[in-house]
Amino acid sequence: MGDCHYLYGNVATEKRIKFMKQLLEFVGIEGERLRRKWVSSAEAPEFVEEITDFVNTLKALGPSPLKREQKPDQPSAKVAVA
Amino acid sequence: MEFKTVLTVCPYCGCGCNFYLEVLDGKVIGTIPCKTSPVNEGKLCIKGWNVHEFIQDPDRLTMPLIRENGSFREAGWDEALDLVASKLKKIKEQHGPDSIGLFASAKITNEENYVIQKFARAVIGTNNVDHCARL
Amino acid sequence: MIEKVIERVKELLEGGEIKGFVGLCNKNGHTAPYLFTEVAELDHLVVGDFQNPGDARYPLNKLLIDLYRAYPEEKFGVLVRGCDERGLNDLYVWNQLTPKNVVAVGIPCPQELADACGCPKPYPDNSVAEPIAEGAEAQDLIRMEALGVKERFTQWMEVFSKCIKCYGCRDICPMCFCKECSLELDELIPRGEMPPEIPIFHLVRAVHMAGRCIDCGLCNEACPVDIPLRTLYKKVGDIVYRKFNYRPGFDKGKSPLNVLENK
Repeated sequence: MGDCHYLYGNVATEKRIKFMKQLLEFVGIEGERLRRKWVSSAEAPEFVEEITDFVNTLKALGPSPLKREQKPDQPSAKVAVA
Repeated sequence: MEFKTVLTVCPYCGCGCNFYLEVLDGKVIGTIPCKTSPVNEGKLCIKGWNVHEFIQDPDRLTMPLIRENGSFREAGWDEALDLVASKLKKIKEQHGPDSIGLFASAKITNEENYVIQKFARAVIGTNNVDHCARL
Repeated sequence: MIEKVIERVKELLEGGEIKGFVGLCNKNGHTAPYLFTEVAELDHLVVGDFQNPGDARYPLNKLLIDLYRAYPEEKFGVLVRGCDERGLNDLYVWNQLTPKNVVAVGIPCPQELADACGCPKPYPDNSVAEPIAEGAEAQDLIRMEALGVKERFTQWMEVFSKCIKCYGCRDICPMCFCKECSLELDELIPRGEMPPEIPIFHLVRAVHMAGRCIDCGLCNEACPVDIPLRTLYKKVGDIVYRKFNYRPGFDKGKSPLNVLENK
């Protein structure tokens, strides 16, 4: 922490992720759908491992509740107002 | 320094929501819905919330415009009304009264609406009368 | 209580300490925000209890900001409740007002109102009277948190889907002072798109209320479709308090979530 190329970038990110996970949980979206991991550009295997793991987590969780929201009987098309 | 809040009715639709216009030194700076109004109970739609912007927009029309050769020219009320009257008369003569239709408004009084339908039926001679909610 | 407010404002106006008092007055049978500059006008002063306690509250701090921007040298008095005073404290932090130009004239809220608001502190520090109510728990938040994730999702999406995108929650908010608003950013919230994308529209605003919302509940009252925005922003404030130990209006400085710094 703190040795980010963008100075306090990762400090700010850490704070926001902590906050956002809780907010998502509150509105009914599983917090595990949001994940943060520090991986440097030189750590390709770690990156692959993390993404694979995340994909597995997401698959286990099933489709996003936001996707499920659009039922066939509900009009999903947005109405563009001029 | 002069600051006042002016209770008024939304000029947009026929709902008639009440709100205050905030006027600071003669300039309208904001809109705030009237909480104690039984009509809208402190709520407004996006049009009402932005009244203070559009009522003083420089693009707002302030006098009649007459189109000549594809462009508009400013005109007085007498000239504009004379033009409308003569054109209506001409259309009625050439194409019959049912070629004309009148649209009334939810934002004017009952009496004015009455006059509009009377004008359509008795003066022009058509039943083509409708109101703004179907525009 | 009203007599004490009038007495205090009279004192301030007569003593020349303030240029005007931003309060509420009875006009045309309605309660209106009003700038009192003459002692004679004070007969019409009210505190915003129209039919029930606190049912005619207005974002007076927002008017104060407008006046401060136009007359940065003048000093104004303002009618505050517990929430409004928290708002003043936070507006000082964000440099939208300065304490030397503001005299808060506070009134405590009754228990009935405090309970309805779930207000943590229903009385201001600068008050004309002693507190008459104790802080109340946010029952709506407790109720919502007791539900399961799926149930919460269904309930929120149902209320969000009613949104008519009037921007009333933002327009009435005394803590919304940004010149550029993310809710008008085409990349986030496409202009002219109705209904707004849910829950993005509401969550964008919720995120911006984090460490900012002083829980006055005016957004809730201004919402034409009764979205329980106050519950959402209470939660956002709760997260910031738990994770960063900061409550806007209570604690000094800016919210740790809102500042970029190395700690």
